[in-house]
Amino acid sequence: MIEIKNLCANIDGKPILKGLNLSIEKGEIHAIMGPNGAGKSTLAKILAGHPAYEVTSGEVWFKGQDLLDMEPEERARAGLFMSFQYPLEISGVTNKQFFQAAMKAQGKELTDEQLEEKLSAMEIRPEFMLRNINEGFSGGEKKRNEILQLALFNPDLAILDETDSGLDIDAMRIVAKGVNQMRRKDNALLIITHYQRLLDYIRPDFVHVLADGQIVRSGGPELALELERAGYA
Amino acid sequence: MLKNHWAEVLDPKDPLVNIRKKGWDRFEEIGLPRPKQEAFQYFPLQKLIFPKLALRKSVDMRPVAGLVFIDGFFNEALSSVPAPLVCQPLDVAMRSYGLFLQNRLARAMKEETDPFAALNGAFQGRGAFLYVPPKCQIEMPLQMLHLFTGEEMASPRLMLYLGREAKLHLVQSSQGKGFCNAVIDSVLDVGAELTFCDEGSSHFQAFRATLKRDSRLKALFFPKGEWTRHSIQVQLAEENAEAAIFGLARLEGDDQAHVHATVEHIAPHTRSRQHFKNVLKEKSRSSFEGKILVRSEAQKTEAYQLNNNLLLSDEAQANAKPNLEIFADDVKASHGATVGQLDEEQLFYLRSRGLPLEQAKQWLVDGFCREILDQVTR
Repeated sequence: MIEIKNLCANIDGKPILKGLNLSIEKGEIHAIMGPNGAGKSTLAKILAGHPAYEVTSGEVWFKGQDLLDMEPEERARAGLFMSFQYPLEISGVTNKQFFQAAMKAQGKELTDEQLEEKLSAMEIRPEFMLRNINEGFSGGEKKRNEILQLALFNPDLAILDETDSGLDIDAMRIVAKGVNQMRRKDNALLIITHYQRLLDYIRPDFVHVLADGQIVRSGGPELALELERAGYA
Repeated sequence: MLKNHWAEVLDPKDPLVNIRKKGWDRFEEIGLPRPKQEAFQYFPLQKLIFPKLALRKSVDMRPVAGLVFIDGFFNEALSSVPAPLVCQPLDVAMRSYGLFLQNRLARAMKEETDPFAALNGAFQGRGAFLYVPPKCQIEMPLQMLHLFTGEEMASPRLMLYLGREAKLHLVQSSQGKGFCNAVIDSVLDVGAELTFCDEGSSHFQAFRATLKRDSRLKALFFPKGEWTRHSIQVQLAEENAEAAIFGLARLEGDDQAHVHATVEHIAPHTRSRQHFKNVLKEKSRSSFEGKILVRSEAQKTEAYQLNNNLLLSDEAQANAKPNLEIFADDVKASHGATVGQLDEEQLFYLRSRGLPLEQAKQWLVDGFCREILDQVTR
């Protein structure tokens, strides 16, 4: 699905990623854990194409395409989705208009029935769709709105950037349900998180530890539990 | 050159001749703006070339529901207003509504501080007087249409009086391209309500309003054309008067839009809000100079002023100068200005969902404008 080779990246001239390697196959769930400042969110943003980060070396191949050569909108259309840690509020456009335009841009169709079904799965009230993008949403509602988009877009690779941060147990359960429902044999999931708790709900196949811009350890789900007990030190 | 123009309009039989003279005298006292003069600091004085004065022309067109001005001259035959509104050429109205008009015009000429508004006083083509009788509430917007047949200087003037608890929604628009120096002067009597929406293309547009007790003004300005300068002065003269003034300019190329707005709180318990936004593309420029003046008697005033500018190019330029002058001690007031670019994070968010860059930008620009546009229908 995606292959990251020796990725190095800077922001404002400061190196953040220092030779990161990661390969994710179809059907797999990977979790990246690590201390604050290790470069976890940087990795998510670079994969989604954030223009503020400068890739200084390395390669990223997504479904056989050179990902780093693609604009953010091209990556979305190719089947990559990132759930934002801090979803943006945008005035003047409603959520529904936003979803319709995004689906159209990705060459997909959005029916009202489909939207209603996903809204009820994510326990989002339908009137939220008439509000401006993320405006007046609580932190948890914003995160659910991200997972709603994940459910609608049905991407091949979904990256969840700290989706569990700021969620209470109920919201976490709803989010995890939404994520688990989108799982297919031929798609993949990359979960970026500081804590182990989301992994109780979405069980990863592989867990990696990111520290100082590199993957320093990899293992199975038991690694997350070990980290929870012993910390990152 | 302006002096020659002045000689041309001096007709002793003109019922407005004394008013014109006062306007001209006032203009000479103020003088044309000089470079670096504060009120015109950002205004392109080099663009200021006065063409010949427009003369009254007849045009072949059907009458319009509303007020029609041709090259600045009110055309009574082409205009119609719903009863019981009264709309008359200013010289005719000087006879029937002389007491009000003489006083108002004489005061306007004496106290005017803007040279172009004063010049309009001298050069005005036959303007119009629009009278909305007490309790007359006209819900349908009334059109005020300017037609420019050439590039000559038009000096339209509208004197407007809303009687007690009268209500009017006036929309100004224009067709054709002329050099236009326009004045709208309005008085809102007790409890009156005026909504004024300016979609015209005057180069100079002065808007004056005096608000009496419990009256409400909502004025919206959408400057159009290569360069415009709006001079807005609103007086909250009696208790519980309220003014909301909005502006939005979308500029490109070498366009320029300049706003000079003053809201004067004279009486206690008065409220005002000014919100002006500009979107600047390419080499366009804008300036906003706004003032809130709170007189010592105007306790419990609430006054807000905000100017937001969105720069879409490195060559565009926005200047903002919000001012507060407060002489009362129990006042809520704030002012502010921002100059910024499109938010990179918002752009990225939209693009990360597949939206093309241009569409994402357009959405953010539309979102920026929406706050002002939403005021039109409210």
